[in-house]
Amino acid sequence: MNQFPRWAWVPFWLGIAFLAIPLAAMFVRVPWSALPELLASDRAQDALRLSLLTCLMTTAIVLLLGVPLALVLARSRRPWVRALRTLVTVPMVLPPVVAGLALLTAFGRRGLIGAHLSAWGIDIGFTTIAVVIAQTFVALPYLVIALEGALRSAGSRYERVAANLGASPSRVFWRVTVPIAAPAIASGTALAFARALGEFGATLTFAGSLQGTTRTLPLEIYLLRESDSDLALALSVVLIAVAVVIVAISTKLSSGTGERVVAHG
Amino acid sequence: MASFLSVTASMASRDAQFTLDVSRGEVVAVVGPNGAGKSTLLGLIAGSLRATGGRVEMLGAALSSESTHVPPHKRTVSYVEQRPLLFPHLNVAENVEFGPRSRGARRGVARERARAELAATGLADLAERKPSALSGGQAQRVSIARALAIDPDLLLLDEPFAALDISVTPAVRSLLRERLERANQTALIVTHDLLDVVALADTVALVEGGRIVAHGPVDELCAAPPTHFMAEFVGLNLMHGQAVETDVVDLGGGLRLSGIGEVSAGSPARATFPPNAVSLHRHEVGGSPRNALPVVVRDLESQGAVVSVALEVETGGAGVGVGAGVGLGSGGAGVGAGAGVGLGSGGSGTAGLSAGAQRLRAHVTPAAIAELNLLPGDRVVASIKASQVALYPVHQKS
Repeated sequence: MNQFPRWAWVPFWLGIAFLAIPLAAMFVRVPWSALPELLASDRAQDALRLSLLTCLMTTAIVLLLGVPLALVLARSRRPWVRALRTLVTVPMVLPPVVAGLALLTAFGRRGLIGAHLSAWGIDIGFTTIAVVIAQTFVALPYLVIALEGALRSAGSRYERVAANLGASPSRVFWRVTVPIAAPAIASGTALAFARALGEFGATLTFAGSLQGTTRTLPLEIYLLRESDSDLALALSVVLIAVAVVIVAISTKLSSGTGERVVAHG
Repeated sequence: MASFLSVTASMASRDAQFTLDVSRGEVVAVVGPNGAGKSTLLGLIAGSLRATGGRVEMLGAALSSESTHVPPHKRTVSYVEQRPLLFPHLNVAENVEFGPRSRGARRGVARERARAELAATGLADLAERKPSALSGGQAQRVSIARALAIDPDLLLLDEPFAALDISVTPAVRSLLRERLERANQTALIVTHDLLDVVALADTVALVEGGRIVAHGPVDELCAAPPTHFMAEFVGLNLMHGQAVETDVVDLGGGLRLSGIGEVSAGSPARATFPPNAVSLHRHEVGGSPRNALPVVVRDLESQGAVVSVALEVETGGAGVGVGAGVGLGSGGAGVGAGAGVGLGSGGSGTAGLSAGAQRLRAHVTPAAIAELNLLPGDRVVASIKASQVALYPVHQKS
C-alpha cells in the first residue's frame, strides 16, 4: 500500500527530469575524447591549481575556526552567544555578490580595516588571499551549523564523565569531543569544501578575475562559456565529479553519526 | 573528630541546604523521594554544581566555599552515573586508562593500572572490546572499574543499577560491594532499592525537601524510620503520636496504639509495624488485639500473593503534632465521625512530620478482600497486633 496519492508520481517525475536533464544535456555535449588535452591546457591548469590551493587553505581555516566556534555555540548558555548563532547563519542565505561587497567594504583598499592595512603596505583585495577570505566567509557557516547541531543532539554527558575522571577542559576537547564528533566534523568539512569550490559571486566581487591569481574554476568556466565552450564543459565535468564524491562522502558520514547517536541514546 | 567529607552547602535556585559529615571509609546510602535533591547533593560534591552558600570540604581542604570552587577535574572524586557512558570511540581498556592518563600517569603505568582494575572486576577478557559490543551489565562494570582506576578519595554513585537488567543487578552489586570493601572506599550511593542500602551501606542519609533530615546507621534508620518516606522505603508503617505510657502511644483523637518499646509518657513517639501485622474487619472485634483503628480505604493494589490496602486513620481531631499539642481532639473518638478526616481543629501540626491524616498500609490476602467486599471509600476497622508494633521516642532536632 502506497503512503502517498498516485498523482504524486507526476510531480515526482517532472522534478527528477528537471534536475537531470541539464546534467544529461551537458554530458552529451562534453567532448570526452579531447578531455585530457583540454584539461592540460594552461588556462585549465591555472584554474585547477588555484581552486585546489584556495579550497584547501579555506578548509584548513574553516576547521581551525569552525570547530571551536560550533562547540561554544552548542555549549555556552550565555544569552548573547545564542544571538550570535543567528549571525553565523547569515552568510549562508546572503546573496554571494552582497557578501563580496561586504568583504570589499571591510577589507578592500578603502575599507574599514583594509585602509589601515593599506597604510602598512598590505593590500588584500584582488589577491589569492582575497579568494580564500571570500570562500571562508561563505563556507564557514556550513561546517559550524552542521557540527553545532550534532554536538547539541549528542549532549555533553561524555564531556561530563571525562571531567569527573580528571581530564582538563582541553584534554576533554581533544580526547572526547573531537573524536566523538569526528563524523559530523568530516561531513561538515566536506560541505564547506564543496561550497568553497563553487564560490563565484563573492570571489568575483571581492577578488576579481586574474588568471592564476584569483580566477578559480567557476570564474574560468563563466569566462570561457562563449569563447571556448569545450574547455568550459571540460572544467564543469571536474566540478560535477568532485560534487558527486563529496555528496556521497557526506551522506555516508552523517548516516554513520545517526547510528552512533541512536546506539548510545 | 574531623570528618573526611563535610558538606554545609546550599543552592538557592533548587531550595537545597545540606549538612552532612562523612567519615573515612563510610559508605552512605542517599535515599529520598524523587526531586528531593539527591542528585543536587552529588553535583555539589562532584563540582558540576556550584554552591551558592556554605562550604564543601574534603580532607580538611575546601572544595567549594564563598571564594573557591575547585573544578570537577581537579577533585579526587569519581562519579558513576545511572548509564555507563563509556566513551564509544575507545575500547574497554582505553576507557579505564582514561582517568589515570588524565591525571598525569604515564602510558605504561596507566595501562598497568587499567589491567589490574579490569582483572579485579573480572573483565580482563573484554579489554579489547568496544563498548558497543558489551551487555548493559558488563558496561556498568567497566564504568565502575573506570571510576575506581583513579583511586578516588570519594566515589559517588547515582543509582548505578537503575538502568540495568534486573537479572544482572545482583552480580554488579556484589562486585561493587567487594571493590568498596577492599579499598576501604568512602562512597555516597543514591538508590531507590532497599537491597542496595542493606548490602552496601554503613549509614543512610535521608534527603527530603532539599535537606538531609536524618543521617545515621542503616540498622537504626531502617528499624525506626524517622519519616513516612523512609518507613515506606523499608516497607513499614509509621505513625506519630504522644506516649501516654511506656508501651502506649496516643495517636490523637483518643486513638491508642500499644506496642513494644520504651517510650516515656508525655513525650512524642513513633510507632512502626509491618503491613502484614494489620488485619481488616467490618466491625470492631472484641478480645485479643487491643489495637483497633477506624480507617478509610483509600486504594487497593495487587502485589503478587497479597493485596496492599492503603488506609487513612479517622481521627476525630487533628493531624497529630509531634512535640506539640498534647491530647488533641478529646471529643468522640472518630469512628464514623464526619468524612473530612485530616487537618482538623486545634491541630498545631508542627515539626512537619505529620501534616494531614495518618496513613498506613495493610497486606491482606485476596480472599480476605473478597470476603470483606472491600472498595475504596469503605470505612473499616484495622486491628494491629501489639506484639509487632515497635515504639520509639522521637529525638528532637534542635
